[in-house]
Amino acid sequence: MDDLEISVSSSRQIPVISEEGIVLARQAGREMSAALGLSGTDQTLVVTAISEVARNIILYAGRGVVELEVTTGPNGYGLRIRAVDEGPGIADIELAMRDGYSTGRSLGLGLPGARRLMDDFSITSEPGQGTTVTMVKWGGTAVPVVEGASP
Amino acid sequence: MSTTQSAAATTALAAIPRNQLMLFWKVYEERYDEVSARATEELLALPEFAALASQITEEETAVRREATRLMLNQGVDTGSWEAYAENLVAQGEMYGEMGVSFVSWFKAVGVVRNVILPHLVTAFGESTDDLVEGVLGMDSFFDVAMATIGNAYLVKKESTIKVQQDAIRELSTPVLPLREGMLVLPVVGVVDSHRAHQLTQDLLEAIRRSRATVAVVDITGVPSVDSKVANHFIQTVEAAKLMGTTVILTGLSPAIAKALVTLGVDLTKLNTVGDLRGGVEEAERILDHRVSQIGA
Amino acid sequence: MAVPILRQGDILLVTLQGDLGDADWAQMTDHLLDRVAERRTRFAVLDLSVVDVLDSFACRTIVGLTHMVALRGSTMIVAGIQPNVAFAMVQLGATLPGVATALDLDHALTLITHG
Repeated sequence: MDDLEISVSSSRQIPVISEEGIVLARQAGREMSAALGLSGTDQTLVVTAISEVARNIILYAGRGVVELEVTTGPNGYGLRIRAVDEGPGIADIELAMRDGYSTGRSLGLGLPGARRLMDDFSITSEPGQGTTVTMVKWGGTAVPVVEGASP
Repeated sequence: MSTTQSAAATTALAAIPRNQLMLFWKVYEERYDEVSARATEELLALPEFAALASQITEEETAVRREATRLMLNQGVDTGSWEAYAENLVAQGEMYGEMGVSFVSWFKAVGVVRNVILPHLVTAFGESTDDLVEGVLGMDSFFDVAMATIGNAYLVKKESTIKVQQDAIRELSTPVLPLREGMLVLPVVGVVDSHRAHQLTQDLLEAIRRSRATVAVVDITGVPSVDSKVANHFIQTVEAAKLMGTTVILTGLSPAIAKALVTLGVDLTKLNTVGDLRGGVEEAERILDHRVSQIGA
Repeated sequence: MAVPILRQGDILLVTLQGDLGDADWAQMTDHLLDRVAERRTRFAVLDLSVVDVLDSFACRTIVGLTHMVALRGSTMIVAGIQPNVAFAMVQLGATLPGVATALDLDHALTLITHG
């Protein structure tokens, strides 16, 4: 009997144009981090971080895309997440990265939170030119099968 | 893994030109007992070998020496080095496991080369060609031997360190189900971010498994508690609270608590009791009353 | 996705399943508040034991819902947050201040009968 093979492509793009996109991005994140062999805890961290940055896209740009890609580093595989939008951009990144929740603001940016959840984190943003948030979670052990490769 | 190591050593030894090996072995074998004893003496003098030195008997040493000699003989005579190669790997692994420093064993084992060289000169002094070939044989042989031992040493050392670290981590954070509904987590040793996260995850998983409603986390054994460590424990407490479990933190001295408050750490988030026994008593009170403040 | 809400006397039980989108949360919130209002309801238990992620939006929603339920004279208890989810929440900085929590449905009911 043939085993059911679940192949995960090494990169996926999820358009985020409504709040349903946030759910799709989360699900894609769950699938890819599971396929990469990340621990249950790390999977949850990844999915939560994706939710935060995807939500940011909707809140501040209206639309964008979440790119998930398997990446390799000195200690193995990782999942790289890029949240890209062409929104208004962040004027003061440092300010944006300061925690808002401690001052009681309910609409604090999810960025500082997402950074705490991930291993690597960086933002590039220019007012008027959109924002790209890049974050990586390392610790993958499974080798991802490239979609289309014969079993 | 050690089979690939010994296979590599076997190949390398077999690649040494036979005539070179034979010239070298001729001299080495004549002096074998003496040279071997010197090397053993150097090794057993190392502090890490103190325990072993007291246990190992003269007879045992002699037997091992003879066994190695036979392996070497077989290698030189027949070109079949498997047994000796495995011996080299086992040697390296032993040094790694015992925590001997690289320099220590390297020097001790290297004594053999220093002892043999003058004898080679004496034996072949007349014939320069033979001397050169003999020395080449010796050098090639020792290059392979040292590299094989060294590699096995490193591999074993790395895995030993990891095993030790895991063991220390395990030992220092056992989660003890003291009574139904109560967990005790005595924390000993330095707590860095990585360990703090591990602790939190272990505690949360233990809470889920044992269905505990109170956990006593004792940090008497944590040498220094700065604001970073304190915040880690606050996170642990908050995470447990999300699962409906009250965490009582014990072993935080009043002096440290005061210092933390001065640093701006919000200790009101922590339920602290002086010592472990006090913490357990408090936990029992909570369990007995089955009181959990709703909306706190 | 309709979230099932069951009534047991003066206790409501809401079991969330899977991954909820914003609209699902809003729907559940409205539905629960209606059910709380329809009859005397002392407690509303939100069972999250099958939920594998709670982001900052979900946490804000839960906190808001707790207050709205309280305004209608009931107490909400959040039960069954999983270890991984609890860990992610504190890392994120999104805890549930002022919300009563329980390990699971069983503990929630114990809390209700003995608390």
